[in-house]
Amino acid sequence: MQRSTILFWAGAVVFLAIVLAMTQLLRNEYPFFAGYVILQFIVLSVAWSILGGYAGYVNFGTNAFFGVGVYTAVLLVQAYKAPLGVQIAAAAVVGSLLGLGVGLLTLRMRGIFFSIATIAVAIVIETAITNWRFVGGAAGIQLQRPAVMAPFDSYVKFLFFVQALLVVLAVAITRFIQNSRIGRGLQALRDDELAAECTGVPTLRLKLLACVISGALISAGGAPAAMYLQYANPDSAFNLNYSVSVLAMSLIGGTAHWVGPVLGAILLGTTQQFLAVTISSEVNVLVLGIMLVLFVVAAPKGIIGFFGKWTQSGGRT
Amino acid sequence: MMTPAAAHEPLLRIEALTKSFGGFVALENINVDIAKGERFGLIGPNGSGKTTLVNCISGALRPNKGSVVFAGDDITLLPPNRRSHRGIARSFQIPRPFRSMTVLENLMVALDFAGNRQLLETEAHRREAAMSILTRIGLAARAHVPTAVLTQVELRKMELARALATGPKLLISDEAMAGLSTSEVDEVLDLLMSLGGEDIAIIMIEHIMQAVMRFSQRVMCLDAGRIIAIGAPSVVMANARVQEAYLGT
Repeated sequence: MQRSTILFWAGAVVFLAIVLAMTQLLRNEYPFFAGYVILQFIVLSVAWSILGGYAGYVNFGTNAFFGVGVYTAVLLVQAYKAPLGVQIAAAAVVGSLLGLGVGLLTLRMRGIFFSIATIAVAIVIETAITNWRFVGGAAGIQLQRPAVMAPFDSYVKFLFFVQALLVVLAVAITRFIQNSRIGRGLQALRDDELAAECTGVPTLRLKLLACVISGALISAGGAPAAMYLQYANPDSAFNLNYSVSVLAMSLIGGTAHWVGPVLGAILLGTTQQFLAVTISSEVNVLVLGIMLVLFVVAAPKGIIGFFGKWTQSGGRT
Repeated sequence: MMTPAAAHEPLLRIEALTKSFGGFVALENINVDIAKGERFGLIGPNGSGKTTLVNCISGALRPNKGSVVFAGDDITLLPPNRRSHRGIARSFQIPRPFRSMTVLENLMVALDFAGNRQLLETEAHRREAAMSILTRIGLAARAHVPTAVLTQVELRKMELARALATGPKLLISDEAMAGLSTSEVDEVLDLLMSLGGEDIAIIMIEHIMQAVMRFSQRVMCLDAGRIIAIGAPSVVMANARVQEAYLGT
C-alpha cells in the first residue's frame, strides 16, 4: 500500500474513534443534532463532486437523489419495519438505478441542458411521491424510531455515528476514483469530450459510472434523514435547497480534490447551523448565496485553490 | 494471423461514403483504400470535406451511407474510443489539449485507456512509455508543464505525441502544420516521415504544398465533397481540375 493510502485510512480510523468517543462522553444531544446535518452535507457534497467536479456535469437534481433516499427509507419502514442498515443499502441501490436512468436519458446533453434535465427529474419524482398515499402523500408521514442499541444511549447519537461511517465510505470511494484511471478519464472528458473519445476514453461509460456512484451515495446519505426527522414530506425531502447548498459547498471547497467538498461542507454547514440558531433559518440561504458569489469571483478554484499542491494537476493523494 | 490474403488487404477501406448535413452534401460517394504504412496526402480547398472525411474515419461523425472498414472489420458504427483502441488516432485542426493537465498527463490519458494496455500494467510503466514518446517528439523538457503555457508548435507536437501514445496503426494529422514557421514545418514533417517508417499509415491533411509533395506517396484532392484526383503527388498537382479548384478559373 502507498504511504498516502495508509495515512488516509489511519485518519479515517481516528475520525471514527473521535466520533464514537463523542457519542459516549457528551451528554447534550444538540451537538449531535447539528453535527449530523454537517456530516450529511459532507456525504452529499463529496458524492456530488464525482459527477459535478471531476466530470464537469453540473447536477441540479441532488434533491431528487436525496428525496429518493428518504422515501426509500420511508417505504421500507412502512412496509417491513426494516432496520436502518437495510434502509441505507436499499436507498443506495435505488439511487444507483436512478443515476443509471438519469444518465442514460440525459448524459448525451451537455452543459446547461444537462443541468435543466436533472431539475426536471427532481420535479417528476416529487410529483409522483406527492400523489402516493402509502408513503404519506402531500401531507407527509410520521415515523416511529425503533429502540436504540448499545453502546448508544440516544437515537440521534446513533444516527450521527452512522452518518460518520457514510462520510468515510463516500470519501474513500471518491478518493479511489480520483486516484484511478477513472478519475483521469473523467478529467479528460471534462476538459474536452471529443478529444477524450478520440484518445480512447469511453466517455459515455465513464459518465454513466460517475452518475451511478454519485447517485447511490447521495441517496444513501439521504436515507437516515427519515429517522433523523421522524417525519418526511415531499416538500422538504425534495427541497431545491439541497441542490443549491451541495453545489455551493462543492464549488466553495473546490472540486479538484476530494478534500474540497469536505472543507466546503464543514465551512458552510457550520455557518448554516450557527445562523439558524442565532438569527434565523432563512438567513442562511442568503449567506450561502453571498459566499458563493464571493468565491466564484475571488477564488474560482475554491478553498483548496489557496493550497497550491492540491489543485496542481496531478496532485494525487 | 497473417494469411496471404490479409497481407494485401488495405488497412483502411472507405466504400461509397456519403455524408450530408441537412440539404448540404459534404461528402459524396467517396471510395479510397489506404495501405499499411502508407503516407497519404489529403488536399482540397477550404470546405471541400477534408475534415468531414477525417471525422467519419475517426468516428466523430457517422456517415449517411457507405462504410468504413479498418483492418478487415467494419467500424462504421463504432464510437471514436473503440476506433482508437483498434488503432486509429488523430490530431485536431485546432489543437484540443486536456487543459487542466500537464503534457505528460495528456499522454497518460491515452496510455491509461489504450487498447493494448496489458503491455503496460503499472502506472510506472505507462509513465516511462509516455516519457519515451515525449523524448522522441522532442518535448521531454516540457513534460511537467501545463498545456496552457505551450507554444503553437509545442501544442501540435503534444497532439501528435498523444495520438502516438494510443499505439496507432493509422494516424490522421489534420493540418498539424498550420500557423507554423518554415523551420517548424520541416521539424514536424521529419517527425511524421519517421513514423511512416514504423508501419504507421499516415493521412496528412495540409495546405502547405511543399510539405504535401515531400511527404506523400499518394495524394488525393477533394473538391465540394468529391474526389477530383488521386495518385502520385506530381500527377495530382499537374491535374487541370486540381489547379482549377485551388486557383479558381
